[in-house]
Amino acid sequence: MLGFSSFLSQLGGLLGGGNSSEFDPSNPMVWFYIVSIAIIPFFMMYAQKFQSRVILGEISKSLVKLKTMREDARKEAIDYVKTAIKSSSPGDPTPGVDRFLEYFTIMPVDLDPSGIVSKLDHIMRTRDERLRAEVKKMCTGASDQEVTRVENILEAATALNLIYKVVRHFYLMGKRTTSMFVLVQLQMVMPLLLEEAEALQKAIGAFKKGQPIGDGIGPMIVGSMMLGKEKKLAARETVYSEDEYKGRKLYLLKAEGPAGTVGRPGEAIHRLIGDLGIKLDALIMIDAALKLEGEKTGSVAEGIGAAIGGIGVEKYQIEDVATKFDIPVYAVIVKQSVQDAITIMRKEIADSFEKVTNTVYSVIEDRTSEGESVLIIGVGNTLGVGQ
Amino acid sequence: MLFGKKKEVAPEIYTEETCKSCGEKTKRRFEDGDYVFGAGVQCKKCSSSNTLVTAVYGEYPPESNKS
Repeated sequence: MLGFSSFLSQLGGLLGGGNSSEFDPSNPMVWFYIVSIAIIPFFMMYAQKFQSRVILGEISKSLVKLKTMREDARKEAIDYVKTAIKSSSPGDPTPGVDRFLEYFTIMPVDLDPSGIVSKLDHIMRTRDERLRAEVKKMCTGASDQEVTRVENILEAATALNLIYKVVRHFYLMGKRTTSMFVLVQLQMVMPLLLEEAEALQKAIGAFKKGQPIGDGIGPMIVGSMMLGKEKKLAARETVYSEDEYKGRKLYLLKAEGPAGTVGRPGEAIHRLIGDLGIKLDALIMIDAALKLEGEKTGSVAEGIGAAIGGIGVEKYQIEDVATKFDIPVYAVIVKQSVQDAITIMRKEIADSFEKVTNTVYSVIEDRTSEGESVLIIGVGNTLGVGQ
Repeated sequence: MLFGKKKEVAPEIYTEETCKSCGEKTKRRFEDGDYVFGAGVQCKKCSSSNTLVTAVYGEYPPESNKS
């Protein structure tokens, strides 16, 4: 049987060169080799635990950041209701804000998807009305514009609260089960979540001051076309005007600004075509769209289809009407990141105004003839954008 | 800095206005109550109050412009 010292001398010979055939404990290099080799089984057993600790530490730091953002957002919402809205009810708005932060919506069952959009529409309307009533109760006597601002601030604070709670859930689950798979997944998405949380936090600043956000570029284009024209109500918080352009009849539709609302363009188009009997030959939608990494903020693109985000109810309603009445749908989009879309409108986006307007008019000239009717919808949150 | 996070710079918020009387375009710092297509402040060129806010935007310093 091979003795330990002869094994070490062989090892020393293997690693330290060919000339030492004896195990020499006084040689520090020998001990360096021993430790180097002994560490391998140690790491084979404990490496994952070490890695888990490092990941937990990183997630923990991010979680603290998220917690701070959530607390700040909550405090800003409470302070805004207390100080900015002079007419708010004399009581402390804190319980109301806290109740709002924990408010949830249960989506309809999708086992049988037939008719799910109308169910979704019903649930979202109920939610909107309930939330609006809650905010109005908190800010008695506040104008509609102030109410929408508070609503936007509270929605951003709710989103931050949700992000924090979900991250905390997975962090604690990963810690309890020491599951690398849970922790690694969380670590991978963490930079994106932090980016989104930072954008939401910045958005609160814009909401408080009523400044236009990147998503408001669509309403801004249509708002400029509506200047000086009579505005009529098409649906809740949604207005339309009529205009003429090179022999074409234009119907201009947007959410009613400068309140922070997206309006109800789906319901409005149903009303214009169904109730008012307007015959449309083309539909042009202007909206902010997500850019891919590397694309320039504020670049303009043209395409086909309903350019509208959200949960899908409005998109469904618009597509439904367009298909039923055989109306071609054209889209003009302004590219921007998620952060740009919910924070103060960047100069690059505002500068695209002229290019988008020209694109819309060129679509009207190219795709329609004289005597035809076109509906132009400015899609997006019209905060800080009038008409 | 090699590993340090780039310091975030807050944008400067500006309001752009156009005078409906003389067509003069001006750019000034955003003030509470400004909104796009709302009434602007008095025109510096012709002193007309008939001005229109045409844009409100955030401008980042050139070095922090990433896209």
